[in-house]
Formats: sequence, structure tokens, C-alpha cells
Amino acid sequence: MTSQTAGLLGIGLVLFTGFALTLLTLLYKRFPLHFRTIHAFLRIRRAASLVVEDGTRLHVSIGSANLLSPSCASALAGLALIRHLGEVTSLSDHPPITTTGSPTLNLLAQDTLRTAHESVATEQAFDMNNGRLTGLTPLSYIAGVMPSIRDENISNNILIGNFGPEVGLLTEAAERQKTPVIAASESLPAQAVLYATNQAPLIGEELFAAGAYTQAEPAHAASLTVQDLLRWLIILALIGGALLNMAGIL
Amino acid sequence: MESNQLIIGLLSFLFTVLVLSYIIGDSPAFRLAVHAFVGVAAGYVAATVFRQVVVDKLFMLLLIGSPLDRLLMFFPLVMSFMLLAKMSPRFEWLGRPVVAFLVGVGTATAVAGAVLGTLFPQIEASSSMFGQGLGSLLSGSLILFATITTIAYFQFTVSKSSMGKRGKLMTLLALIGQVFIAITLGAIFAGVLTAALTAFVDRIQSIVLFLDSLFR
Amino acid sequence: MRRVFPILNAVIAIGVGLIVLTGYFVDLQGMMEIRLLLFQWAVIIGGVAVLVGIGNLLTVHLNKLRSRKKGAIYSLVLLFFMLISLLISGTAGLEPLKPLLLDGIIIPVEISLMAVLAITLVVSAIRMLRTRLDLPTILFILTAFIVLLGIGLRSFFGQLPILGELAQSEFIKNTLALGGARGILIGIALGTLTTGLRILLGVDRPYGGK
Repeated sequence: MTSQTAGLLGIGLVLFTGFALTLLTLLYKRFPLHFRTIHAFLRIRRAASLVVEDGTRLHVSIGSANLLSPSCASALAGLALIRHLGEVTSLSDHPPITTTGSPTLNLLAQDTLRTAHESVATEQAFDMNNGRLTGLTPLSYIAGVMPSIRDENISNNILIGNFGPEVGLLTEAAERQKTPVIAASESLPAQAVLYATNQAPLIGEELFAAGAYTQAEPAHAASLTVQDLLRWLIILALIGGALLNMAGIL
Repeated sequence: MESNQLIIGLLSFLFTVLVLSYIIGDSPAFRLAVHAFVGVAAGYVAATVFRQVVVDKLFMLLLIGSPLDRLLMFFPLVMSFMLLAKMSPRFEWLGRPVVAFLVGVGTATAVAGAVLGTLFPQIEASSSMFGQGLGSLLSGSLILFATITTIAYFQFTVSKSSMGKRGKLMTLLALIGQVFIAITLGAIFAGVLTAALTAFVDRIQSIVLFLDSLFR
Repeated sequence: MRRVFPILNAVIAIGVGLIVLTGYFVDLQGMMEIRLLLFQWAVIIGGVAVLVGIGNLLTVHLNKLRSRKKGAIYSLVLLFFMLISLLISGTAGLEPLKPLLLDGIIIPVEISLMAVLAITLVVSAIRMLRTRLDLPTILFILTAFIVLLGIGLRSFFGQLPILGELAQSEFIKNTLALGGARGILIGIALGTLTTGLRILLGVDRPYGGK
């Protein structure tokens, strides 16, 4: 495939996805969408309602991706979750804390927490330091998160973003505190580690479903269905390409 | 052993032992070591980034660049000051447009990376594995089957009446996909474990070598 | 003004995003140059964001010290080492001391943390077999074992029938796992595409605003 062909196909794909996303969002009220059950998300919802009652805290970590790298999308999905959890738990005495290993992501996490805080209009002052940068390298970030898991009266840890295999150290730290972890990463080594260390791991693209499963916003639900639509188009392309390759045309 | 080397060896030995103590339990020694590590790494990265990015790419161009360079670098200079306002709760709003700018660039990079860097190359590679010979045909077909069932496993949308469960065909496809996912993650897990075990052996070796060099 | 700013921010994010995205797809000299310029600006601002991040790290740990929270003494250790590191890394003439930071602390701690991870992973795999014994778990562990046999575990177990041959043929890694990995990566790319487009359409605004 030449770069020009790839560029044209890319524009086509982006425009199609954008169009489908807008259309399904607009049609959501008339044709609501339904999704398969994912237990990890049920646990997140339960955890959010529990912290309001028992005075503990949620800890959300969104990894150490550079915002200017392709791997930042998983952290952006994590931010959608922070927004929701921030709104749900802002009424409690202990709003969630977020940790990141990237300065730019930390700014976004702080802004998201602030927006969530302002949207519920509590009298409590917003504490910017609930969004924390815990380290500037992937491993120092992980090392910096470990004390938060231990010392902050955390009832649930949600790790959604770009992590390396060292995320296993966080699940181990949480295990030692007997606090549950819900975790997902877009990196394959981290997914392999989480598969072994986590009771209900979110695999692959399931991490991008966080917004749709917790917020029930039309655009988030629509984007999952668009993903499904593209999924089958890609499967068709794969089969078609294979047949053409076998026939010696491609 | 030179004095500098001795201090490095001693520090390395000390920090290695303190961190490895976590295997036995989360002790004050381990906490001390990781906090020191976080501090050192933060200071090191901050100083390096400041010199290599802010000084070399911004200030140097502003000072000795061509008039066009100076003009073009004026914008990031202003945005940098706006971003610094993020440190003050009172003026943090000044930094929001700059964060929005970063989000725009980052998101576009992620989307382009997903399409041009992953989707197209992966589709192309999956479709071009059916070369000459039965062996190639069989392995290509198996890889394609694994890819398709794995993609199908993630299907989110279900019918309203299913109460969050997949239909019969999708259940079967998802089950096969789940098998391939488990195999894939198992193979990657083995690689991660090997790398981690290599690190473990390296640390034990470094402890032995340091002690050996002390008492020789 | 409170209403105007969120809209302005959204316009900036969407506008810049669309320009950069077009620069990736359209092979025109002008578009590419604009994309590279915006990216260069973003890299510089990202560098400044590190300074803001250091400010955050400093504030969080100073607050811990002030409030004498649990573990405040460790915050003092962190701040002390951060200042020493900043001083050595940022002062001209102190370069010879840099190996103390890199080879004495940063690299040994990073490798040691990976060593701790090794033990964690072995324990987790055993725990997994005890608490989650289903088909995917068995396949996961079996695959990991076979691949490890191929990497070097053979010296412990000797030549095992069938498993040993499987490990040597690399059939698992190069065929089964390759297909699965491809499926997962394609899925992640789809998630990235839709998540990114939600931001470029202004639906999600992580920079603040509704």
C-alpha cells in the first residue's frame, strides 16, 4: 500500500467513523443500544456507590503515556471514567485521587476532577492535589503510586491507561492491602501480567468501553457500537484480502 | 577500585538490597529506597528535559535563531508561560487553552497512529500470508482464524432481549477467541517473566560481585 | 467569560486536532510542515509541563510534611533526593557526579523492581491456578510453560514429550499467539479511533468544560 493510498483510505475511515458516531448518537434516544455484561464495570459502579457510604476513597491511575504519543488514547479513556467517578463520589468527604506518570496527563486528570467537582456544586473546596504526578519515569511512577495504595484509605484501585509489565507491582501492592483492583492497559505485556494478577481483568479494547458502561452517555454508547460496526467491516476486509491473496491477485 | 566507583557500587548494593527486601514484606527500608528513587528520577528527568527541550529547542532559537524562528517560537513561549499558571489555583484557567492545544495534537497523533500504524499494517499483514505451498496456506489460515475470532470476542453490542448475554453464534466465536487470547497472553507472559527473571539474576549477581570485590 | 472560555478551549482542541490529523493523511508539503510545527510547539510545551509536574510533586509532598500525615518522613526523603538530583543534573560542572544518580540509584532500583516483579509474577501464576481454574487459565499457564521451555526452562525439566517439541517448533508463538495478538491490536486501534474522534468532535473534553 503506498502512503498516498493509505492516506486516502485513512481519511475515508475517519470520516465514516465520525459520521457513524454522530448519527448513532443522535438516534440513541429512539434506538437505545444494549451491551454485553462486563463484570469489571459492574464492580466499578458498586465501588463508586460504596465509597460515599463508608468514607473511603477511590484511586484511579491512568498510566504514564506521553500525551503526544499514540498510546495516550487509553489514558483518555481513563479520563472519561475519572469524570464519572468524580461526579458520583464528589459528594463524599473523600473525592477520588488520581495518579499518573506523565505531567501532561496529570494536568488533564486535574482538569477532569475539577470539572466533575464543579458539576455537582458542592461547598467543599476543590483540592488540585487530588490529581498527582507520582513519578517521571514509568518505574518511578509505579514506585510513587505504591504508597498511595497503602496510606490513603483506598477501598478500590482502578488502573486504566498505558502501563508496562511493571503494573504487576501495583496489583501486588493492592493485594497486600487486601484492596480490590480493576485494571486494563492497551500494552500487550501489561495485559499478560494483568491476566495473571487480576481476578477480573479487562482485556484489549474493553478498556475503551469504560465511559459507555459507567456513564450511559449517548456518544459513549454510540462509539462502542461504531467499534462493533468497524469490527465486522475489518473482518470482511481480512477475509476478502486473504481470498485475493490466495488467488494471486493481491 | 576508584573512590567514585566504590561509592557507586556501595549505593547500588544498598538500594538493591533495600528494594529486594519487598519480597519478604513492605518494610520502612523499602519505602525509604523507593521514595529516594522517585525523588532522584524526578530531579534527573526534570533537569534533562529542561535543558534538552526548553533551553535547546525554545530559548536557543529565541536567542540565536533566524527572525522567522524567533517569530515562530514566540507562540510556544507565550503558551509556556500560560501553562506555568497551572501551578496557581487562582490563575490555573490561563493554562486550559494550552492543555486543549496539547489534547488536540495528542489526539490527532493517536488517531493517525491507530489507523496508519496499526490498523492498515495489521490488515495488510494478515491478508498476505498465503504464499506458495500447503504449509503456508494452513498457517496463514490459522493465523487469520485466530485474528478474526479474537476480534469477534470483543463484540459489545447485543440485542435488547438478551439481558447482556451474547447470542449462540457469538458465544461460540467468543469462546474460540478467548482460547486464542489466553494462548497469546500466556506466550507474552512467558516473555515478561523471562525478562523479569533475568533482572533478578542480574541483581543477585551484582550483590555477589560487590561483596566479592570488597573482601578480595 | 466563564461561558466563552470552555468554547474557546474546545475550538482550539478540535481545530488543532483536525489540522494535525489532516497533516498525517494528506501528503502535501504545506500540511506536513504545519503539522510538524504544531508538534514541535507541543513538544516544547510538554517540556514545560514537566516543570509544572515537578511543582505538583513538590506541593503534594510538602503538604504531607506539613500535615504530618502517615509516611511524612518519606516525603522528606523524596524531597531531599529530588533537590540533590536537580542540583547535580542541572548545575554545570557537576556532571562527573551524574553516574552516582544513574548507576548508583536509578538503574539499580529499576532493575531491582523488575526482580521483585519476577517473584510477584510467579506467585500470581500459582495463585491464579488456585483461585481461577477455568479453561482460559489452564491454556494461559500451559502456553507460558511451553514458551518458557523453549526459552530455557528445558535445562530444568529435560526433554518433555510433545510439550518439548511444541516449544522448539515455535508454532505457538509464530502462529497461534500471532493471530491473537493481531486481533487484540486491531481492537485497540478501533478503540483508539473512536475515543480520539469523540474528542475531535467535542463530545469528550478532558481539558475542562462539559
